[in-house]
Amino acid sequence: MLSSKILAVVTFSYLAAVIFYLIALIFKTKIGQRIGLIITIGTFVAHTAAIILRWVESHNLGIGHAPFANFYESLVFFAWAIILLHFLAEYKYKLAHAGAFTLPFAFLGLAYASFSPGISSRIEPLVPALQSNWLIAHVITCFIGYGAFAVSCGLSIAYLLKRSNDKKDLDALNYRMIIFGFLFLTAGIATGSIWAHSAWGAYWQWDPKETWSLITWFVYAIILHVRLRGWHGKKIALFSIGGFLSVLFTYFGVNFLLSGLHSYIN
Amino acid sequence: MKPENSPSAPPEKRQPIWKSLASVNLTIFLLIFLAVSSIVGTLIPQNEAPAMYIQRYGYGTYQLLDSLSLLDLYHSGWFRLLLLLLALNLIVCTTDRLRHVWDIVFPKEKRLNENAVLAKPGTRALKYKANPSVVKAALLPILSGKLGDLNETTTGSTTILWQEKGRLSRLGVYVVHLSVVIFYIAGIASSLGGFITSINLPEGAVVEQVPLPNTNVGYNLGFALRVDKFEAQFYPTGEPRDYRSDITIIENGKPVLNGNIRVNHPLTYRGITFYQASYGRFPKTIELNLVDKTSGKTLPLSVPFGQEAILPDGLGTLRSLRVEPNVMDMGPAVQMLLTSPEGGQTDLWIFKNNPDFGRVKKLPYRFLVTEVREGFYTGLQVAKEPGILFVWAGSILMVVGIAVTFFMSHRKIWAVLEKKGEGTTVTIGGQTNKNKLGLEERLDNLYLRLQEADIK
Repeated sequence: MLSSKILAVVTFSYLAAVIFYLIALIFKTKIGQRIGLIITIGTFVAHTAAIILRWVESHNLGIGHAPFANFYESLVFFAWAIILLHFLAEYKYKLAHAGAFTLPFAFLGLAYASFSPGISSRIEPLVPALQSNWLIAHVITCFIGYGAFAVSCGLSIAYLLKRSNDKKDLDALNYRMIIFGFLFLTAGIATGSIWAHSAWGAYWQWDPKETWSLITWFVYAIILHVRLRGWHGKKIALFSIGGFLSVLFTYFGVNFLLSGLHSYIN
Repeated sequence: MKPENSPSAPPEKRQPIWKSLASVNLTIFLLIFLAVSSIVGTLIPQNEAPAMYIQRYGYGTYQLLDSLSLLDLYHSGWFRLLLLLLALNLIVCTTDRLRHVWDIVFPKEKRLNENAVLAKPGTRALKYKANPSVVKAALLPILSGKLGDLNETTTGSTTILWQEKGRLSRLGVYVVHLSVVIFYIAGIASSLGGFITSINLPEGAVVEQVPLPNTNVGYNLGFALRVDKFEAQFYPTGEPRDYRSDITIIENGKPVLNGNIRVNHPLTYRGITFYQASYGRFPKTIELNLVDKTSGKTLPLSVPFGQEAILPDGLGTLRSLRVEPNVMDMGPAVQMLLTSPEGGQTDLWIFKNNPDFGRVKKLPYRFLVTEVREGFYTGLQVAKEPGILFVWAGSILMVVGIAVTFFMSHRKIWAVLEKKGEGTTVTIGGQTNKNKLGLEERLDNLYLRLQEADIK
C-alpha cells in the first residue's frame, strides 16, 4: 500500500525534525529550531495525506472504512494527534524547544507501527464488532486524549531537565495539556461505554481495557485535585510522567499481558 | 497556592465528620485507593473457578484472597463502600461549597470590590493629556463589546470601567461532580433493575423465558422469540463479515414482528434487548444407511439429533444420544440407543467409516452413518438495562462540565481612570479564577489596542 510506504518515510522525517530540534536546544541556534519546524509541518501534511489515502485505498479494496480499525492504524493516528497538539504547544505558548521532547513520542509510535514485525500494516476488513459509527468517535477521542498525555509527558521531562527559574509557562502549558487529555479521555471512555452497550448489552464489564482506562482516568483526576491542593511544577511533572505510564499500559500492556474484549485489535 | 477567588466554605462550626466528608484530601485518598484496587483486580484473574486459583496460587493463598474478596473485587462489599464514600464525598463537598458559590454566580446586583481594584489596579498604565471625561468617551468604543456589558463605578475623582464574564463557569465543577453521582445511580439501577444473560438457540427454537444469572429462576419475557434463521458471512480473506439472526416475535400465539439481530444492531422489544453475541454449529440430523446383512441392499434412515426414529418392519426404535467428530482415531461416530419392541435396550456406536461397528445380532441389517447434518445455533445476549439512560446523561454532563470547568473562566477586566493634574492616567487590569496566562494575554492585547488608539 502506498499509504504505509509514505508513513514509513514520514517516520524518519519526524526523526530528522527531532534531531534539528535537539541541535537547536543544545547549541542554542534559532536556525535549527526553524528547520525542525519546517520539516515537522511538511511531514505532518504528508502524514495527514497518508491517513486520507488509506481511507481511499480501503474503499478501492471494496472494504471501505475509516482508518482506525487495527493496531497499526491506531498508532498512526496516535502519532498524528501528538503532532497536532505539539503545534498547539509550539504556537500558542511559543515554546521553541518543545519539539525536542514531544516529537520523539510520535516518532517512536510510528517506528513501532512501521517496523515491528508483529504489526501488520495491511488494510483489513471490519469484523462485525467494529462495524459501528461509534468506532470513529471512540478512536478519535481516545487517541487525542492519549496524544495530549504524551505531549504532557514530554513537557514534563522538559520541565525536569530545564535549568531555569522561569518555568511557569511550561508548567501552565503542561497543566493545560493534562486538562485537554482528561477531557478527551473522559469522552473516549464515555463513547466506549455507550458503544459497548449497543454491541454487547453491557456498558461496563470490568474488562481489563475498560478497567485500565478507568485507572488512567483516576490518575489524572488525582493530578487535577492535587493541583487544587497547591501542587505544581516538579510534582505535577513527575505525576504526569506516571500518568503517561498508565496510558502506555492501557494502550499496549493490556493488549499483550491481559486478555479481554479489545483482543481483536491485534 | 490557592486559586484566586477560590470559593471556600465559611469557617463556621462544622461537625468533624461533615468536614472530612467535604474535604478534597478525602477525594484524593479515595481516588488513589480506587486506582490501586482496580489495578489489583486486573492482576488477579476475577471470577474464575476455585480449582484454577488453587493450582495457580496454592490453597492458603487462595483462601486469603477469597477472604479479602479479591477474587470478585469489583463487586465486593469494600469496593462498593469506596464508591459509596466517593459519592458521599462529592455530594457533601458540593452542598458545602455551592451555597457560597451561588451568591457569586447569581449576585443580587453587579458588584466590584473597588478597594481591592484600587489597591492593585495592575501594571499596564497609560497617560493622557485630556481630562477623564474626554478619555472615557474615547475609551468606551474600544472597551465595550469585548466582555459583555460595560459597568461603571465612580469613587471620588476615580472612575472604574469594568466588565465581567463567565460567572456561570464556576458551576462547571459541580456539574462534573453531579455526573459522577449520576454514574453511581446508573450502577445501582443496573444492579437492581437490570440483568444480562446469554442463551443459545438453534434455528427454529422458540424462547419465552430466559435464565437469570446466578439464580435458578427464569425471567418471563412476556412474549416469545423464535429464531428463524442464522447466517454467518465471511470476507474472501476468511475474516467474519456479518452475523445475523432472523427472528420473529410472537405474542399470544401470533407473529407480531419480523426482524433481525446483528452485531452492533440489537433488537429491543418491550424493554428487553437482544444482542448477537456468538454462534455455533450443532448436529441436526443423523443420516444412516441400513445395510442388509445378506443382500447388501441399503435403506436410508434419518434420525433427528436427540430424538427417536422408528426402524422399518416394526423392529423397534433408534434414538441418537451423542455425536463425536473422532472416536478412537476412526473418524466421526454417533452413539445410539436401540430399543427393541419388547423394551430391551442396547447402546451402540455407529461409525461413518467403519462397518465393523453398528451391528446387532437380532437385526437383519447393520448401520452405517452416511452424514451428520449440522445446523446453526445463535448465541444471544438478553439484557434489560435501566442504567443506560443515566450513563448517557452522566456522559454528556461530565464532558460538558469538564469543558466548562477548565476552558471557561470567571473574569473581570477593568480600566481605572484617575485624574492627574490636567490629564488622566488609565490603568488596565483584571482578575480571573483560572487560566491566568489567558487573562494576561487578553490584557496585553487590550493594552496594545489602547496604545495604538488615537486618544489625545
